[in-house]
Amino acid sequence: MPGSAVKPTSFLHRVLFGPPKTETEPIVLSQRRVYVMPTALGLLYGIGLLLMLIGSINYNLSLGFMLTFLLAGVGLVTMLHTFRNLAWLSVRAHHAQPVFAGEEALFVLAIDNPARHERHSVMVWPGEPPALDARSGTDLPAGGSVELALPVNAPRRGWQPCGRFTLETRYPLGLFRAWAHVRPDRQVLVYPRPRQRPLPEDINGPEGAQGPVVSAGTDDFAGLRAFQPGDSPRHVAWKSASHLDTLLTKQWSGSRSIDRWLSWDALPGDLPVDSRLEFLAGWVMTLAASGQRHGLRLPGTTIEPDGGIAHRNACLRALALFPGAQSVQSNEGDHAH
Amino acid sequence: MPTDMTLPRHRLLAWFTRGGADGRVHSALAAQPMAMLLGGVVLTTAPHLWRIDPLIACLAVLLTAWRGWITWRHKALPNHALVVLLACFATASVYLRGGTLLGRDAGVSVLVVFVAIKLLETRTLRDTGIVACLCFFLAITAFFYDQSPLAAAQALVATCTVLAAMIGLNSIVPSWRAALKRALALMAQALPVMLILFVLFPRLGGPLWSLPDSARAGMTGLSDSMSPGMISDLSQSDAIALRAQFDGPIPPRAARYWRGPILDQFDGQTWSRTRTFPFRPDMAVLRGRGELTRYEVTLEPNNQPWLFALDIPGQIPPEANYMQDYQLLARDRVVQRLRYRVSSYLDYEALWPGGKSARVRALSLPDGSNPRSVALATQWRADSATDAEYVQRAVRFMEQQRLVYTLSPPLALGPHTVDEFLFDSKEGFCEHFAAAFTVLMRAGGIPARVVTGYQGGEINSVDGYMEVRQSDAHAWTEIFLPDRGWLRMDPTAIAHPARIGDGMARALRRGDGLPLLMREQFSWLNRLREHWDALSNAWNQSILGYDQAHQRNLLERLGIGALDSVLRTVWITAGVALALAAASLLLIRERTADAPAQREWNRFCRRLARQGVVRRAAEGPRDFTERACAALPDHSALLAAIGAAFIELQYGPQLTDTPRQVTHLHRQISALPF
Repeated sequence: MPGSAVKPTSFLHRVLFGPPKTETEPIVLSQRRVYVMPTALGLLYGIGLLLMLIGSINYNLSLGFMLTFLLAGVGLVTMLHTFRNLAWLSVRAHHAQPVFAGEEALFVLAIDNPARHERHSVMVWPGEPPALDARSGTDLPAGGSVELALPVNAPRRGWQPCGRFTLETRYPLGLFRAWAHVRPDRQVLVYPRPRQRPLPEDINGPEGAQGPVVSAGTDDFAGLRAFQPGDSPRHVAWKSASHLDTLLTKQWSGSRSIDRWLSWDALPGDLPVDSRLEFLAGWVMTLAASGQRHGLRLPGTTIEPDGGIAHRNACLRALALFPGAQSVQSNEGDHAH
Repeated sequence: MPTDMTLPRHRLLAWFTRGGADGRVHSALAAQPMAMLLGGVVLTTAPHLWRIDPLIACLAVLLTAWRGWITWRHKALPNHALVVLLACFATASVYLRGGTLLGRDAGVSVLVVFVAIKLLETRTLRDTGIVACLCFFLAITAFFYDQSPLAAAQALVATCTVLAAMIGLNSIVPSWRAALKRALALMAQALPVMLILFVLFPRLGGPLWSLPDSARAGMTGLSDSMSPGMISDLSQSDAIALRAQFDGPIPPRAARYWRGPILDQFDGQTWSRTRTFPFRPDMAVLRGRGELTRYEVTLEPNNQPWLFALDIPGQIPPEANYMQDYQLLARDRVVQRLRYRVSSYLDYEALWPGGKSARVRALSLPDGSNPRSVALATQWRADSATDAEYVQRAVRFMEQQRLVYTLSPPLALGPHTVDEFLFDSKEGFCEHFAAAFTVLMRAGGIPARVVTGYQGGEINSVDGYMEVRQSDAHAWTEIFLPDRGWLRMDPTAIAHPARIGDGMARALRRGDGLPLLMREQFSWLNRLREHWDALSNAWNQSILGYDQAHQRNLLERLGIGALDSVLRTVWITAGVALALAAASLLLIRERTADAPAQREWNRFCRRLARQGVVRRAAEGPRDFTERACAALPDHSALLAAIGAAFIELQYGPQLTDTPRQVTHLHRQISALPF
């Protein structure tokens, strides 16, 4: 096995197998992990220089030689500048807030510039490179730092690692690109995508049925809380949204509020695991939005009825991490905290 | 209805300016660096505008201005179809105006106009890069025409502008000042690489492929024929014809005859040269008296094979031919500045009269031309016992005929040019004098021919080179006497001795249009010109003249002579690598620099160490500050504040306003009284 023959940290190992899976922070973009390659423009520039050289030789233009060699020197020096513009940055990442499957998780990357020179046009993106003109960059003053919120697709429930981020720069001339990949050891909890389905009639808890209470909890205004995905637009406090940065949801406490149990078994038996989890998530969101106390009963897990955001998140977390077909990341994700 | 008439045109216009194929109406490129790129294009294009066809130049200027307007007013870029149309139109007009798309001038025209057209297609960063590369290419084509220091400075400024524009376009917050600074830094750091490559890169003796004729256009100098007015035209030019550096004493002014083309065919109007064969100037045909005058000539390109040497060449450069008329010829036309070592006998006997046909030519005159002169000569011949006496008569005639030496002799002479000059107008320039005297000699049976070249040359007091200008162009006569060989006779000097003794300015009559630099009231201008000429000579000798031979010379002096190609490659690679290593040391050294807070802390520790409070190796900031407070109780408050600030910076939660805190820490440390 080549992997066992080579020391895991050696240069060859890194070249053959890329950087290790995840890294401890801060991740310093050391000399060895910053790659430099000419861009398409750099190649064009090189071809242009070659033509200029041939012209200078043929017409014996001393000044032609000079200009050609000066530009060749500029080309070589700009390679160093490009490299220097990226090397020795240090990267730290933060965990992202949980999201629902299909949404984008925002990972915050803090990039520090410990050096005495400025950095220009450092572009960062997660995953695959976007189109050249769609990239946006950032400048870093000497000794300064910057925080970037980078959206990462979260297609499946469970723990999802932040994956690979690419830092790239083409400064100053765009003839070379220097890039480095980082894989911070950070992940995001992805809740199942909530799917709507009428609340079942027969999911009442042990306290006894009180009939369907879909419209319950609209009697008394109980206060405002942060907007959560899934909240009904009718409950958003639009007035306060106009002068606040964030959306707020009005909460109502219904006098007829009662504990409800959301049970795995309430769903038809032939539903696949993930669909069940998605419907359960939908119910959790519906009940939480209406401010109704609810409990969750899953095979092997029971969460006692309660209300509030923390409770709702606990339920969603249990649904996200429920062992099953789609939750490929759940094994390695659980030890993160 | 008028609206119906105008509508389609509006629509067409609207369609053409609708925006590009990618649907983006506005150019997304930042205006400031884009303006800089336009500036770079203007700077690189400007020297060409006067050289290319006016139509093409106007088109390029208009298109560039259009792009400038688009950038300035954030207008839409023209439609792709219009750009293609423009490109076709431009190519067609270059072809139609010049007759070809190949060659130097057509190539430059196409390049100039295509840069402008590409500007109208410049939407993305990549497009700007292509424009920049085209600009660099244009900059080098300017050297086909002019390699003066000014041209170099122009190209340097243009290159710097284009580089700065590229930097600006690659920046998020473009600032022309920062971009320019960075461009200058790039160029300064590239300098060692440039020098190494320039010195070591192998130079070839000749071109890779034969040069097109257009590379040779626009050179002035003596041609292979002489008709009235030609040399006086040349005399209006201040351009340097050649420079010479003498090993020994500088020959006196009267001996500064630079021998050029020998003209021995006369058709009544024009004197022209006959091709002769090379020969070996051995003792039988050339006897020199006195020392050889040794010197090195730097000849400006003149698109002719003439190699000028002082009358008469003794030892000749290996690449030259010694022709039977005692003229030096290069193997090919001189299209580039040429340096050669040559030596001359200022006092000589040139005994070879030429081959049979040459001897016939040296005596022939067209039938019936210049009857008055011929009649006069016939009369002298009858009165003279010897050739020498005949020549004496002719010389005396030239002295006494009151011939006026002028730069602007009357034009439109009739068929008998010599007669009219000698007997009617009596005004002429050196070509009239030389032609007249030669005709008189031939009419008297003495072989004679016209020699053209330069007479004179001034020493540049700055660098000691002798400068011979086109305005020194001259023509004189050479006669053959059997016992003396070819004798130089200068009829201009005979009639106006001042021409040779004091130069053209004194000899000419007042009010003649002299070249500016020859006028005495502009002597300060002359001095300035001397400095400029010395500078351009140094430039020519050391930079433009850096060729195969000089490279070998220099490398031998550096102790690395006789490089074979492998060794040379090794040297070049090593040199460039070394230069780059030096640059990277300079650039990347900073990475190990401490974080700003740590630097401030080190400064704090150094200050305290001077007070005797030295931080121990393993002592943390908290312990050290406490100890310092105890040791220097007078400043304990400030010391404690500094310690706390550093701890907060170094170990506290990262805050975004770190630089400001560092500045604050810096001020606090500076506030310490010791």
